Amino acid sequence: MHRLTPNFPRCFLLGLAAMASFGAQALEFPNPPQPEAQALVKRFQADYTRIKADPNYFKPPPTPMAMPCEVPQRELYTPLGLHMAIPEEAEKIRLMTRKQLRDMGMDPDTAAKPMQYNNIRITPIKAACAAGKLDGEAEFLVQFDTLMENSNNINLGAKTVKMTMKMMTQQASRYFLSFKDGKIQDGDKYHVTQLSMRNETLYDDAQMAATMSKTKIPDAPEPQVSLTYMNFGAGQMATFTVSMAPKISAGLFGVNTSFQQQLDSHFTTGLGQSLNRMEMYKNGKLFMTSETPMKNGKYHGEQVQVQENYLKASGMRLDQMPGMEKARLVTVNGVEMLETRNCFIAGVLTKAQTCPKD
Amino acid sequence: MRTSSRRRGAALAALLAALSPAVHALDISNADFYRCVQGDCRNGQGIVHDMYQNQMLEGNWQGSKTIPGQRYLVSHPLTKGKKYEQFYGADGLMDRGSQIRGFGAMNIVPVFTGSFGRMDHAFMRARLAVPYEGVYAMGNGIEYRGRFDYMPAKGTEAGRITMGHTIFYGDKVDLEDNSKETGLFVSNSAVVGGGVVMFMPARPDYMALLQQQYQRDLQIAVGDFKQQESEKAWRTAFAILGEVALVMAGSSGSGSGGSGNRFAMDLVGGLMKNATAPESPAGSAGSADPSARLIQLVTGAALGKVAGDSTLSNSLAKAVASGIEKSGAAGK
Repeated sequence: MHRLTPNFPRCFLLGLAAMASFGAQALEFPNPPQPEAQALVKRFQADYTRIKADPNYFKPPPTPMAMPCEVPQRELYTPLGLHMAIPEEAEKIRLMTRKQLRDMGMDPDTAAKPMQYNNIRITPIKAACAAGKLDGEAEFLVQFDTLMENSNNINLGAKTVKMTMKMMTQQASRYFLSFKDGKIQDGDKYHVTQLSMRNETLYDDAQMAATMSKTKIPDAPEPQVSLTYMNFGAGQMATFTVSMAPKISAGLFGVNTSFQQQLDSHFTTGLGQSLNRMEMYKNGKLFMTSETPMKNGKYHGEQVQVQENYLKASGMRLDQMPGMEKARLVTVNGVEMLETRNCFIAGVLTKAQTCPKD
Repeated sequence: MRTSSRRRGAALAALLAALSPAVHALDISNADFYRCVQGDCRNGQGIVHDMYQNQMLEGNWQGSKTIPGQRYLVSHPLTKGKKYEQFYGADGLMDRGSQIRGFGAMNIVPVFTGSFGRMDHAFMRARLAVPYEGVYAMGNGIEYRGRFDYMPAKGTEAGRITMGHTIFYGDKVDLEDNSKETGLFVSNSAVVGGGVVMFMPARPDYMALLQQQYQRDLQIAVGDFKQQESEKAWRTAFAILGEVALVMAGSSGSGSGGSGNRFAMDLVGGLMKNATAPESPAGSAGSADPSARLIQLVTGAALGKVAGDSTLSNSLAKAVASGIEKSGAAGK
């Protein structure tokens, strides 16, 4: 007769909890060809099961520890994903986005409002200091809310309707990092984020509001959970996101929406190097690959993207779709996919037959 | 005999007029797109609402068309009361002035101001007015100042929506950061006269790529047009048959049923024969409307066979013209 180990009851309960939280749907995992990516899939499977089984994972500990030394806000915000919450950095991004939006023919005054960060709380779970600076392995719980708001005027015959969209999130992340002399260290690091999203669209016209309310897609019933594994020194990053994806169908009195659990997996290599490669999977299926040459941190050269042939679903040929001058159909692992090529020169999308390589 | 020939000739003239290719000249009598909101929009001073682009156009109208050289004023809700001038040529197309690209505009509207050239759009088989020289102001502080050109595009299917690439060479000026960039810019294919034209910098060799695509699309368009012509011919034939049936029902008992039925069968038989004929050679798609030619030939031959009965011939000629008119309206 086998003897049960002392850990058995805990493991059993964890397993049960994980099964319960997955519900009837089991996740379909990708099977990338690269051994490093395969290892990350296995690691994600284990981490995700553990996280889902712990109801307190995104909550501060009952007796939180104090920050072991005084850390300047900038030194803490940047590695903890709060770069955009630093006003000067947000302003730089706003100006850059403003130019891009104007190039795209949009009105930046309404479209480029920066994201607002509220209620930021940083709780150290594990942290130590040496000579007054963060040092060694560290773990933080980061909680905050965001609000992004933009307004547009829609022309409807003689009247103009103002539409205001509000996108609100509540986020909680656990960051696992390493510091030396107050500076973030290269090497393996990862973070886990739980994100609840709520969208609201307001119209200054009652008729429009009533019409649009019939086609409103409800917010996802569960928060999404993302696990990001990074090693910038090796130029690698992988993100796994489990979310409830809406499935929309036409109903008698508007749209019917049901939700299905979905896993999106992104594998990136060549970060900070001369060729950035990306592979994206939706559940177990390869969805898109991308290769982009880089120079001075900007896209530079011919970007080759291979993606699911979305034209097939609507029965369209390649020549029927605008902007497909350099596209062709290719077969990847026996599946017909769509290959598109874009030329970037110093980060600017440029129309070209032959894209410069240097 | 001479009278019946003249009547047949009149019916065929009506037929050709009804089946002639679409003309893109401004014609505000088309109630699907335009609504007169003030004054006389037929022969006088009036303000018309362009419902497609949500613009107001005011000026003097003659036969619901523009008068060459006269000044028209155009505005859009997003231009906040500002009115722009437009001047049209004898062909009813814009010669110079400002074109507001209001379709789908959200807080701002882009406006092209300058002179317009003419372009024969091979995929729409129509002549268009396209920007030639001037300033394209995007409404957000970015302006393109220089020379414009245009390359027609097929879009999803030739003959359906007027699409094309706008090509620009000159200065892209950013009034917000006082920067200037000179060079070649090309837009993605966009609807003519419609929404925002978004330019991207282009290398000269891209023009060769567009040319290759244009030639490829011309070949594909031959098939698109043949399909549409066949659909149009059948739509017209069924409309004519419907009208002919009414004439026959009205004249039943007069002994002319056999001639009328022969007329109907000759029409259907002629169309069937054409439908199974070999394809016309590539490049002929852009010439005169083959559907019109076909209907002309088939109805001409069919009317010839009932020429002995002048009353019936006259009634059938009217029925043909009425059928063509109805099919044209249905096919819009």
